[in-house]
Amino acid sequence: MADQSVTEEGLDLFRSRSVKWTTSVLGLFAFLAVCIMLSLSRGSLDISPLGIIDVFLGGGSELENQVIWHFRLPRTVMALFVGAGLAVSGVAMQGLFRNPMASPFILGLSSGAAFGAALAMVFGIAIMPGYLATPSMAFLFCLLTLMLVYNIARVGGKVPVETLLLAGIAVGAFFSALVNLMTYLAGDEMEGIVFWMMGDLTQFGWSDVRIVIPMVLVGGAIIMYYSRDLNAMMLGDNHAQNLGIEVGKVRVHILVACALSTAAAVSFVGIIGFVGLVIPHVMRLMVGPDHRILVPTSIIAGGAFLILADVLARFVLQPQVLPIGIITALIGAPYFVYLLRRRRREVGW
Amino acid sequence: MLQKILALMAAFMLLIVGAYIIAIGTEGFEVEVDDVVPGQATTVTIKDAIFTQEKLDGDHEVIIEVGGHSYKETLTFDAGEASFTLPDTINEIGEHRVSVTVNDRVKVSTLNVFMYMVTDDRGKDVGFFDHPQKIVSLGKAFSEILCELDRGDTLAATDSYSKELADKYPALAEADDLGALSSSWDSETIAGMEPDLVIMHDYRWGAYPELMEHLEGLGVKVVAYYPANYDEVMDLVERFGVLVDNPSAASDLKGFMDDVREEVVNKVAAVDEQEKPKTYGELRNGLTVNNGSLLHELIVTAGGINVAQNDSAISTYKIEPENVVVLGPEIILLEDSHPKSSEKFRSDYELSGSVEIKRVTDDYINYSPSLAYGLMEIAGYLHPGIDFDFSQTP
Repeated sequence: MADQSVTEEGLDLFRSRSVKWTTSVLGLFAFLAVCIMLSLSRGSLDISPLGIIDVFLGGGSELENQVIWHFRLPRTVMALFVGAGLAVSGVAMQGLFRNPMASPFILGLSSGAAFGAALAMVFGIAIMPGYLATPSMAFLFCLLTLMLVYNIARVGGKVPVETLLLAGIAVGAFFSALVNLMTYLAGDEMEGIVFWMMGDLTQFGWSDVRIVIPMVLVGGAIIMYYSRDLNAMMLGDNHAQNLGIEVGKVRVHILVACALSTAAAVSFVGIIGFVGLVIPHVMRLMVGPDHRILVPTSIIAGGAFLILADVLARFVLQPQVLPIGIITALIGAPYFVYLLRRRRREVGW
Repeated sequence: MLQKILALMAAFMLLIVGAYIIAIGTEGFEVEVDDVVPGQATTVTIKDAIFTQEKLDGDHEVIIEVGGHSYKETLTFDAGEASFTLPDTINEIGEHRVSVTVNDRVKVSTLNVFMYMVTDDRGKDVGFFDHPQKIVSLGKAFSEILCELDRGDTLAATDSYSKELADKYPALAEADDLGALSSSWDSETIAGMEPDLVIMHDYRWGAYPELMEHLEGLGVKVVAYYPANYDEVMDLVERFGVLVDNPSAASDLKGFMDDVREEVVNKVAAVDEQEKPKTYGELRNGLTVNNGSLLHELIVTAGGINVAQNDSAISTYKIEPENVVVLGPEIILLEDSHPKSSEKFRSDYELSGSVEIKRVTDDYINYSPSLAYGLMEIAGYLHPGIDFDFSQTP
């Protein structure tokens, strides 16, 4: 009897968790849909939701078609994937390093990617031609940063989390200084880079979006694939190894996936802070620490958050447009402090 | 032990303060003399020293000796201060010793009689014993004006942007390059060149205010200007004429700028408001132009309508990309060094073939006489059907 009761209790727990997860995912999708609709409809030319549907069905005026297809849709898709990429990198790193501070920025990946991208943009140094020049350089330097940080932090075959974070901060500062040095030396040439360094969603088209989507999809898919392993690694490397997980290999795969997602975001949109840090924490509060649900919800929420931030960036000082990095930091930082103070225990760290 | 040390320190401090009071207090007063140019009257101001504040109040007999003349007056001190205006008898350029005697105490100061004085945009009067022969220019526009006024040979050093004009003005090739950014300009390096004058922008941001302060602290003469529009550039040209002793060339240059503008304004006045081309301007840094920017002024003066103009106080701003299309410009003006080619700009914004994209020469969008050439260029773009007569071009 007792065994049957335990089984039923477990089933109830499973059902209630499934309901919670399903509700969360559906709720987030609804929120994402609202954000997308807002992003597509609002602007210098207001287009109603029905008007947007009309445009998608081949109707609407020439100007409406141009505004939706050429400006708003690629921008919205870009914000969606960049936000998703940064959030999924953040959640993976926080899990991997068992540290709430971990994010692509703290480990210096963003600064490394920014340096690579700046080299391509300012000096035309590239390892791949055409449209792939900037993202490939960003990815290369993101990986180089990762290897550098990883090797600096490795002590006797092990990589202590504290050393890894400190090495990340040091290497990140080094690459930031190099980007600043380029700004200092290049003068006028770097004027355009200034906006990019603050996070800029205004300078790209479908060709750029077509590069970002696969990079984020591949990065996100790898992290999703390892979400169960991330759960085990949260309990410590020894515990994970006892469960048969090849910790070293999984860690490298996840870090490469993080580098891919971060490079995609940084090379086209610049440096956007707080998405990779805040979104995973908010989602952890909402759905709990299980990475099987935490990873997909963070992906949806990250995309929705960046779309919303972009809508605000366009409207705060209309007709000017603010760099989106300013908006994410202005929203993200106070909200993060609020979370820390009010619900510190619930965050679970 | 500690108490003894503290007591000794207190005694030492008292000694210092006492010595200071004696040194300053017994002096009794301070003297300030305004700088002048020959033939002008100047004012000698006598002030109570800090520790004898208002002790001088009331009538006192004051003897002032300067340039071999002695003036004896009874001055009425109010709130510890009195002034005496020296008659316009000082005609010799140079430094003159001014000796002031009050209550049998003597204080010496200096009267600078300059050849001429100029007032810069900070409102600061800067005097010169002779025309500057060694100038450091920290602004491309300033270097250009100096070269246009045949004073390029006085340039000892410039900023890097000025060097871009070396092809047009060979004198600039000889000048030292101090770097592009204000943060790279070192006050001690500049002072070490012993220039007669440093000309720079009167910006209140970046390294500018500190650099001005440091240079002046090192005894270097600095004039700072901040022209904001076509009129102020013409005014600046005239002021440079006085500064470097070529007022006639300055007058000609100013006249040229004025003639060009008059020709454009007169010709485009006949264009109906509805016929004025809808124009969008973007600078090389990707910013759109609004009220207060040079490109906006040139567009409007040349008879165009700046579609991106708005009521905000920001002269250049980052525009929401779709606005470039929604605002419906007929002509787009890009600075020549804009990173996007005209073809790339057209494809990025999916502009129709009817929208013209024109490049404006970078050097023409500057606070210098080249603005006139910019106006000529833009007027030609906006109104190709109008036959402008710019035959007065020097």
